Amino acid sequence: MGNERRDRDMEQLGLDAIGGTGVSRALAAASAADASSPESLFRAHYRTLVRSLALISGGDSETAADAVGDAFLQLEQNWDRISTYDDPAAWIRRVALNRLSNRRRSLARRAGALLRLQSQRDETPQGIRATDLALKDELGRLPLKQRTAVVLFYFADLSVAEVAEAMSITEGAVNQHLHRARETLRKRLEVDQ
Amino acid sequence: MSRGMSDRGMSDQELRDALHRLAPDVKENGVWESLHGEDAAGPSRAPGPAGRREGIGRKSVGRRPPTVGRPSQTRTRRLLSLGAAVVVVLVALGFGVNALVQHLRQDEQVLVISDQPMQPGSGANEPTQPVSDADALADRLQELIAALPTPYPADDVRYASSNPYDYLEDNPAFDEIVAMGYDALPGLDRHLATTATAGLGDYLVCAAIESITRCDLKQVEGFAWADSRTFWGRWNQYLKRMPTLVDEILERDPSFWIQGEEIVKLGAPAVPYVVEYADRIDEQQDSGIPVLLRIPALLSTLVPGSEQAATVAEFKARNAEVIDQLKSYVEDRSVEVSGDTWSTSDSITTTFTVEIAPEFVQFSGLVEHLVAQGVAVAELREMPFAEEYGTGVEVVLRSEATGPRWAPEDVLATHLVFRAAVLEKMARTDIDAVGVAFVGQGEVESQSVVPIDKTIDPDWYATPGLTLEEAAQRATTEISAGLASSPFDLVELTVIQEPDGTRVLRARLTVAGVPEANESIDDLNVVGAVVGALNDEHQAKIGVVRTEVSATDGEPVKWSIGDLQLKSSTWWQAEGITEGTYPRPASLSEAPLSPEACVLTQVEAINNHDWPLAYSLYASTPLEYGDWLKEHVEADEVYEDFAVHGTEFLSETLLDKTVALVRVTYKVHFTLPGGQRTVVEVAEPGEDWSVEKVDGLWRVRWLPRQ
Repeated sequence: MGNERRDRDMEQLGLDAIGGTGVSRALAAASAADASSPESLFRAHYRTLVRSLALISGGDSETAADAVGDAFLQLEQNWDRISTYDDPAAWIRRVALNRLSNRRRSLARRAGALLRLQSQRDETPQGIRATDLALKDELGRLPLKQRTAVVLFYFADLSVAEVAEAMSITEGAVNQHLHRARETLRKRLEVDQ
Repeated sequence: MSRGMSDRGMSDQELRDALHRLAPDVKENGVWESLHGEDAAGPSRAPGPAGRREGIGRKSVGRRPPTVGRPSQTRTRRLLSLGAAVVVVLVALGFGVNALVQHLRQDEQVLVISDQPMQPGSGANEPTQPVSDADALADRLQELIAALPTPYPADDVRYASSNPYDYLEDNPAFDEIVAMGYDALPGLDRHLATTATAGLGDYLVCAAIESITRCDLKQVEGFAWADSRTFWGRWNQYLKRMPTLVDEILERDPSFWIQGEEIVKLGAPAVPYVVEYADRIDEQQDSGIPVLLRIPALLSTLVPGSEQAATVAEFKARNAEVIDQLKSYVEDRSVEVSGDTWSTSDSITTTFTVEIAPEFVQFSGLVEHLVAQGVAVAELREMPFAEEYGTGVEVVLRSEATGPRWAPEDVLATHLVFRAAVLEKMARTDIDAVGVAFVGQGEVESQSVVPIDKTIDPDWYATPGLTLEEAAQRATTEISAGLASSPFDLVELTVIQEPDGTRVLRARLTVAGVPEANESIDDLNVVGAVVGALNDEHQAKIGVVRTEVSATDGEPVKWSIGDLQLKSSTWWQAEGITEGTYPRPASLSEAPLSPEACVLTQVEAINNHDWPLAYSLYASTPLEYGDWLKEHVEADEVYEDFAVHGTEFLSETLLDKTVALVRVTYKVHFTLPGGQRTVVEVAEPGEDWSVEKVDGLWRVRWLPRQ
């Protein structure tokens, strides 16, 4: 993921080009470094991907870990084919998102997730600020596609093109989701004040 | 939380930081090993059989490929038992023989037993994960669709068979799609909505939809679809009518056999509405009527693999997820298409997304055509005058205009809508006409309907005699030479091939300004002449010529599309272009934005002897201004009691020539050629004045008034 492309994407969105954050540098380094085996991809992407999916699913890191684990299992089973892809990491992201979506569809799992969420709410992560909690609530109220786009773009530090590929939608649609999400968050958080 | 939100809200960096604080921490150590069944703390073990590895300390999350083969012996016994039970129930309830046969045939392939609500084709012995949906869709569906028309080996008797159903046998891709069950339906819909062709592969996609939903459109609708386009249009109509169809059947005079058989024919999409019907009857406390008693068996037949139930309420409780999914499939089937508006002279693009409502999804291919060409579609709506024009849709475009005149993009977009509709009709979409409306700043600015009565000669798609590069190179050389002594400069010329195979030549030219362009406007004919020669002499097969002439300051001067395939031209030109191909009135000092305003303005101008304004309000005139002025001064028309009684919108073949009839009554005093003053009264019901929209402004047609 080139910073140049990121900057261009962000210009299109009318956002600040902030340069490489720690995550973007790490991801860029990981992408450039070694995509030669499933394990190297796992080392480079697992943690960020699970955290991203946990944010998307409202903090349910167990479901997120399952979904990402599934994706990596599939990766390994189909490594002969997937290793020929330009960007196997993009494939993993897409599969993991789909897995997450599957899991969310099950009523039973949803109920379980709610219970887990409930228990997690009692555990305020260290270092979290009051303002973050408001953001978390509002993030959870965003439509799934907007939430996914926001997390992948702002947290996982993917480019618009990479988000589009992960979500199986066009870059234009990603821009739309990001724009609407930002608008919604801005309005709601202003109202909350 | 409002910190930093005052102007542009939380900054991007603040948002990033907050998300990083919110994201739960994740332990990575040992996970890779546990995914492989390896003890994180100990040495690695060999992988499990067939590369399938179960994790330690976590439940199995993997899954086998969807099962469509024969069930295991144990499972078979259970299936037979249940099958026998269902047969007994069905016979006891008096199902028609056909329904019964259909039911039994289907059971053999798909009936499964599970402790989870299941779908057709789900693997019965994988209770933790119903055969999957979105992941399979994303990872496999497109691959499978692409693999559907795989030919049989040359020594197979079915090799090159012309019967599409031959290709359903021994077709692993087809089987796998069907095994995905209802989860595959949205993806299959999406495929048909955007890329449906008359080819074998898409035919099999339709067959897969029918197989998954257990609905034979030919049988239930009497509609023998010949290809995916015709299927797709009718399928959407069919699903839209599903609630009504169910109610009609169930409310009919109850005849056990016929009702049951007809409901079964409707397929799985009927299930939510059968349940709703039962709920309604239940509310009426009339649960003893025969049809309600039969509904649980009906539902089980429609959704093989669903959990059996003695009552509707029980069925509903046990299969809630499947019922919701089917209802969503029937009702929430809109399609989103996104794209960028075309690059204007200042290279600004705008991204937009259009959501196509379920009732119009059969026209999503039309939207794809337009979006691919940068046309900003706002939405699809019901076409006006459908009774007159037949099947169609109104395409609502976002106007680029900032004032009373149409922007050049608008004018060209109208042609592209017509063209896209022609292509869709040629691809067998059921469409007789297309409407075009513009919205700008939230208000409709114009509306028209055009019959789709043209087609493109297949010869345009024959193998060309020049490559795209050769065609562009020759055109560039010859057009540049032709414009050598002209004020126009050719700055860019490309020849591209549209997805439908049409070759489009796109030329950008500059000129110092409008006056210079006006003086030499006919020089632009060289573009058409060169393309004509390339087509005639070299079989270049350039079907569309798009020319954009702008002033050196970037202002558009004349934009046009010459559609050689459809034999029509559409253009926009700056106000100062008065010479050339179209007789133009003088510049307007008023801006009539409606047919009524147009005629009222002209009558007022005549009464006030504002001759330039009155003349400018004609769409075209056969008379030069001087001659026209002489006639009118001599006649000295004066209108009295002029009143407008309504407007009827018509249309012509070219979309940018919207036509309307304004019904008026009046008295007019005028002087006859011999000098005699006379008066003519046009009383109710009045007469129609024909008006026409030119470049966004309504103008009176000359001849009809005479």
